[in-house]
Amino acid sequence: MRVKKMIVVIIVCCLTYCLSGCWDMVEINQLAIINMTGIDFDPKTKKLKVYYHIINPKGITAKPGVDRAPFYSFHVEGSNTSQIISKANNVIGRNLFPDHYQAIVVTDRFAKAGIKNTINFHERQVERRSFIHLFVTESPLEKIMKTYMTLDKLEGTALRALAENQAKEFGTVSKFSRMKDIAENMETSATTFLPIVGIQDSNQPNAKRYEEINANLGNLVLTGGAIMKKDQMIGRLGLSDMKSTLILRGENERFYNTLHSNGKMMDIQSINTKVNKKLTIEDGTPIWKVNLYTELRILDNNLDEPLTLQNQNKVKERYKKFLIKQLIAIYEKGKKQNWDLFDLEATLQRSQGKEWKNMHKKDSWKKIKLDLEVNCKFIDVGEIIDPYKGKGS
Amino acid sequence: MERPQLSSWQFFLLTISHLIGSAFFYIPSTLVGTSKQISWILPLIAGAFTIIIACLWLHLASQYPKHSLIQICLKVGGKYVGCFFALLYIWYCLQITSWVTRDIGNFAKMTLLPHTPITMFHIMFLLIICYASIKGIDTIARTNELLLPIVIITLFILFLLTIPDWKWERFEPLLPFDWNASVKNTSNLMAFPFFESFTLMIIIPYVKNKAKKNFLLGMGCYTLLLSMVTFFIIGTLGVVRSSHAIYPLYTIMQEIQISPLIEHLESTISMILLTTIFVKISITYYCCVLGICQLFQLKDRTWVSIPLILLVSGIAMAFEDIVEDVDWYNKYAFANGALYGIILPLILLAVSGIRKFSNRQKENIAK
Amino acid sequence: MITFLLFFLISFTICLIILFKNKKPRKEIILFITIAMLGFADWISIITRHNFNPNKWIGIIIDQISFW
Repeated sequence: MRVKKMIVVIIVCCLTYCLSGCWDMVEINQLAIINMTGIDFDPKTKKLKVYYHIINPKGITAKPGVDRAPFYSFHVEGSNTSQIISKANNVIGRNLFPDHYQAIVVTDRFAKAGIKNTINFHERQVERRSFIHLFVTESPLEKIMKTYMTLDKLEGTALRALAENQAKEFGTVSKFSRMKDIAENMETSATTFLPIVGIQDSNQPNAKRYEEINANLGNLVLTGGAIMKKDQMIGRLGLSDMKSTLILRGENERFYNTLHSNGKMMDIQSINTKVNKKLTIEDGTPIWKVNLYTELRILDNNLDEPLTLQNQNKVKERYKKFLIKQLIAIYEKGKKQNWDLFDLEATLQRSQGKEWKNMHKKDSWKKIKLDLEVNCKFIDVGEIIDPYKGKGS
Repeated sequence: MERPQLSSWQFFLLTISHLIGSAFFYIPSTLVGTSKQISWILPLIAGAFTIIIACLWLHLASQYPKHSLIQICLKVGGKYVGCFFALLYIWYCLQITSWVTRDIGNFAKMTLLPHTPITMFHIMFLLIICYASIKGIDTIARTNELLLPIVIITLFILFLLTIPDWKWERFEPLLPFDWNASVKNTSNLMAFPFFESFTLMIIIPYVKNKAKKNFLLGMGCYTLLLSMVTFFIIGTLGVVRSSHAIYPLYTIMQEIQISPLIEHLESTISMILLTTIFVKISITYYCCVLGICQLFQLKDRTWVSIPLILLVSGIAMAFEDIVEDVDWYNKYAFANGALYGIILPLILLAVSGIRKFSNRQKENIAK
Repeated sequence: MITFLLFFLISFTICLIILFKNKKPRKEIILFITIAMLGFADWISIITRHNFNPNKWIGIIIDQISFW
């Protein structure tokens, strides 16, 4: 019996050799945990410059700005991925650990040249994070990568929070600006919108920011949206255009608008916005029928008139007209600039039948007319119905 | 040798598990790659055809009740030809076991533990499977009875979690797809995994009752499940990405994001794959061992099971990498599967028919 | 190579001792040795990088049949 037990113990001991921990052991002190990556491409030298934000675990727990930084920015230059990885390991001296990175920033010149290789490399990695947002920057990448954020110690985390919050609450960033969205649109004619970030007053891109009360100085700020067709940036939109585009695309559920009347204004927040889109053809002319329904909340009301049902209806009508004007403007802008902002080319391709036969050419989408209908209702007027009448009334 | 008894419910679950194996993990990518948005229909077509062919298998089994596939081969083909047929089926079981073992090795090495040698996964996995096969089919069936419902429920919960990523637009436009490739895909799909279930004919005599009904029902349920998984993959991942990914289901789970804190649920799907593959290999390994035992009339499975680990883990290393595996599957899977799933059963049926006819004539002459 | 040979020899000998000690039928012992030797040969072919690939052979046979 004892011999049998001994044999079992020996076999178990031998089997432990086969356990995976022996090979795939990960020692946390040997890892360079990446929080954010920045990539720039120089068209002249055809070289990539990659920045890594490597987390310094001791710095996260330490008092910021005193002695330890929460992360360090490393950069390497090379003409291909393998060169960059080997050079990065030479500089960093630890194994790159990309499982926890939060954001990728690319320069606009790189985005304009096409980021196909980066996307393919990223999608090939098993430990990739495809739901992270991809950012474009028009500021020098070096400055973007060598600044500290104030509230979030890690820049990647801060950028991710910025994008997610904007997409959810203000609609200036598309919620489909993640790595996986751009990968999905690589082989279709659909458009992807990536947030553009810049740096505010870049004189203070260092740890002294922690001691400065004016947090705006050297802070990252959202400046617009990059229009990406497949893997290439074809144009840029300002923040208000981004908002309008995303409303008409049906990706923007919450947004703010201001109505002006006789020098007074009313701030309205639209929530629960729903967009129904349908492409039809009437007498050989394709018509894109869009039905937009939104619920309104009065955020600020400085109008002189009391908020009666009649006045409320007037405001509603004015708001509808305002929104239609705003959305038609962006629609026409897209056509004029040759930007298929609303994936109309793909929608046209989808439409099958005799009447659509001549509509499958490349630029046919520009012939589409927009038929926009807006419906809205007030659901929240705030705690006071009428504004207080002060001196100015 | 003991004569285990399987309930009809256990056999139904075993059929589903045997079919699930690694197929629902690998197949959708190949399907979506060629047949685009309509790829979810292909499993239904392949399933329907296989169910018709399965009626043939069951007809063969019903002519020799209480006989396993190996015993049928020996009875129909006689000592030498029957032995050859039986050896072919044993080889088929061995082949399936080694392929699926390699599948788990590939998956684990690629996604979970990239630095661990692939052989280690094979050997560790096969050791447990060897133990399971020594314990017998009733042990495997009971394990499966416990694990499969958990697997299915987890899978559905995971599906629910990915609903925010669902887009109906992904089903249109109907991208131009290759008809020839779609037909080829359907036929390959019949070979892997549908024809592989023919090996279950080795254990069918152990089922207490309603074996045929549950076999077909299990096949039907799996067909629906595979179609649903493919449909779900198209809806959540889109045609473009799922046709590029090797493990689309894994990619989907990797991208689940319930909140910034709860994300990356791919380990759950890995557990599901490990479980389903464990049951599948256990069944085929057991069938292989049982087949050898029945062919050589042995009573103890232990000493056949143990050296098979060495053989299976060796054959599992035959393919250099997943590219060779996929290439072989696309070129030869149907031809290989058709030999065991259509040609041999037809020969067996024809010979048994001729034998019965000549026996009857002999009886008539004798009268 | 040496590790594998050592491992195989030790485990094979242990198994044979147990088989003979338990007075297993001769058929069982022969079958055990045959399967173990097949596995051993396969592994030697892998270690010596002359990988035996049955799938390749099956492919060749199918190609030949379809050619006819």
